[in-house]
Amino acid sequence: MTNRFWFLGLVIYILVFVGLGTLQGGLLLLAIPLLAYLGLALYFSPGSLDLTVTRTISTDNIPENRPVTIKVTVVNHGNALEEVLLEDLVPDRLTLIDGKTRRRLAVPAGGMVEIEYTVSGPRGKYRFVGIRATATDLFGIFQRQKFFPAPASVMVFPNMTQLRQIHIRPRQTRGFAGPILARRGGSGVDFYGVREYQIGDSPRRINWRISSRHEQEFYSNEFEQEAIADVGLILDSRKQTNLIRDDATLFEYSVLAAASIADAVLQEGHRVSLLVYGFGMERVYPGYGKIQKKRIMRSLAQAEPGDNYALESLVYLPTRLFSARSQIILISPLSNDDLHPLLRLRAQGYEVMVVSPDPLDYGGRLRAQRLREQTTRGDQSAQSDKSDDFNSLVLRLAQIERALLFGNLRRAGIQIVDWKVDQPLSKALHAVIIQPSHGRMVLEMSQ
Amino acid sequence: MSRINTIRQIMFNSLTRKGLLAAIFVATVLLTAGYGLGKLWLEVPAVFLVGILWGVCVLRDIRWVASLLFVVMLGAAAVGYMARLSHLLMLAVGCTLVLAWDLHQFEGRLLDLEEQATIEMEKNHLLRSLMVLGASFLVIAADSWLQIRIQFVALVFVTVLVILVLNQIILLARRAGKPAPPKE
Repeated sequence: MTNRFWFLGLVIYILVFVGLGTLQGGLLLLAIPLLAYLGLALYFSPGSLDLTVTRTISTDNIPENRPVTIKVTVVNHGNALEEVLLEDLVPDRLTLIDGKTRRRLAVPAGGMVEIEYTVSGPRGKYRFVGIRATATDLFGIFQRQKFFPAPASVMVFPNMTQLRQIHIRPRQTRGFAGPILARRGGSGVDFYGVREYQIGDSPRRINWRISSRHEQEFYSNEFEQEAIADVGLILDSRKQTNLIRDDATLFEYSVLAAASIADAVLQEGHRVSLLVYGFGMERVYPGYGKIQKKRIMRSLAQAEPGDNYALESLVYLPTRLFSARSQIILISPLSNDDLHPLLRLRAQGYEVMVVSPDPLDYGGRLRAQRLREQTTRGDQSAQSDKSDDFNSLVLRLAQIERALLFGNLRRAGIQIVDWKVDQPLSKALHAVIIQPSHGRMVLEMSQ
Repeated sequence: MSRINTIRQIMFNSLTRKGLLAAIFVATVLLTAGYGLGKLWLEVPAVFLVGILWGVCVLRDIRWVASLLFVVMLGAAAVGYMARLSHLLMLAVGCTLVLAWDLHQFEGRLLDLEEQATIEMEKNHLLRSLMVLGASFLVIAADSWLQIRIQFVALVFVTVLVILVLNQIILLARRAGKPAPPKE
């Protein structure tokens, strides 16, 4: 029953009681048109709803802000519905681009209705639960509402930038052929050393110059094996490191970096795993290729910054999730407390690289933008010189603190990519100076 | 978008709009005539102004006033009835007011309807409204030659009956409570 029913009921009630109270039969008669109206509405009130709902989605995996078309087909197996409102319950964060998510119409018995619309949205997993059907009589007095499930989900993957090549050089490589020099003799391209000839060696590999100096022995050239490596990506989703302001977070940039690096490293053929560390520990086990890329993207799509007192520090990073002496890439804005956990990782034999979206630069730009907006609005209180001086000093101190942290990390052989998020990620990675670590080249990146 | 809606209104809602304006006009004229015939000259312009106001609200697409003006005019008809004005006129006002109120509400829903469904639904709705109007006018016609007398016992009986019916309606309404939509 709708509000109109209660309204009419109240009017009829008043008319009848006033009529009875004042002994005015005319007032009772005045209520008769309303009663006739109500009676007819009751007679034609909708019966039970018997609908079948099916949902078709053009694709269940889409990149961020790309359109996806959703089609809902409703078939009426019951009686004819004089007026029915069909509403597809669309998740709030999705934006309607085209079409309608609700239709109000008449559906005959056995009739079919289609609701088709296009939506897009930011990264995440979106669940469509079903449609809500509200049937009413033509007077809109009586209504019957029912929910019909039509579950489906759409995964919106995070955006990523194309990074042409990332060369890494962890201490430990895997057995399969790949792009990384494995510091082991075997088949390869680069000269590695000379050893005594063994049965089965190709005569082409015999080093004749050295063999000629010995009477009985032959010597063969050995080449350095090229293998793939284990790469562990750690995405820092701790709220306290990512949140700049209540409405601004660096986390989306961290996700972008993680997705781009995962894509580039997987393209090189490495075995990649992911750990989202923050509210909980979301883990994608190591794997190769396109399927692994999809797994990682799925995990990144659902990653959200969060608070967890147990995981406030990187001290609790579960290092045993990563292969010994493998490459670890941490994507985090970093805080001062993160120095020792990273040094510990390095001490355990991991090659560590940190891609750090710069929170100070980002915060500074946000503040400048806000000041500009306030100035445009004519808010003079925003232009306090004293406050500006104080903020500049605070920013300067924070920058010094961050520089010191980076200096300490670099001294430990950790590669730092200080990414100012208004610049392209590929440019920031390209700008990293290749530093020898322990006399070896550990990292080389090129766009 | 608003232009499309306006075109739709002109094209498809014309029948409802015409019926609505006609119903308001007839109700206003009948009510004014009733008060005029009863020589209540002070009330005549007030009643007429309420009718005019409703008409203006219809033309300006202001829908929330429909129920308010309906109650005001129905109240005026009830007061007129108690002031011994023409019973027939007051009953006719009641019938046309129900029609006007219904058409005003329906016009609001019509904008939300699919274009294909609109014409058919508009016809069906008008047909049903006319059925109500016809049934009500039959009652008016019957009133002109029937004299209903209510004794005290009958009054008590009718009161009990009304209370019982209202009680049943409330129980029915509670049972037909809206199902909560599932959480996403």
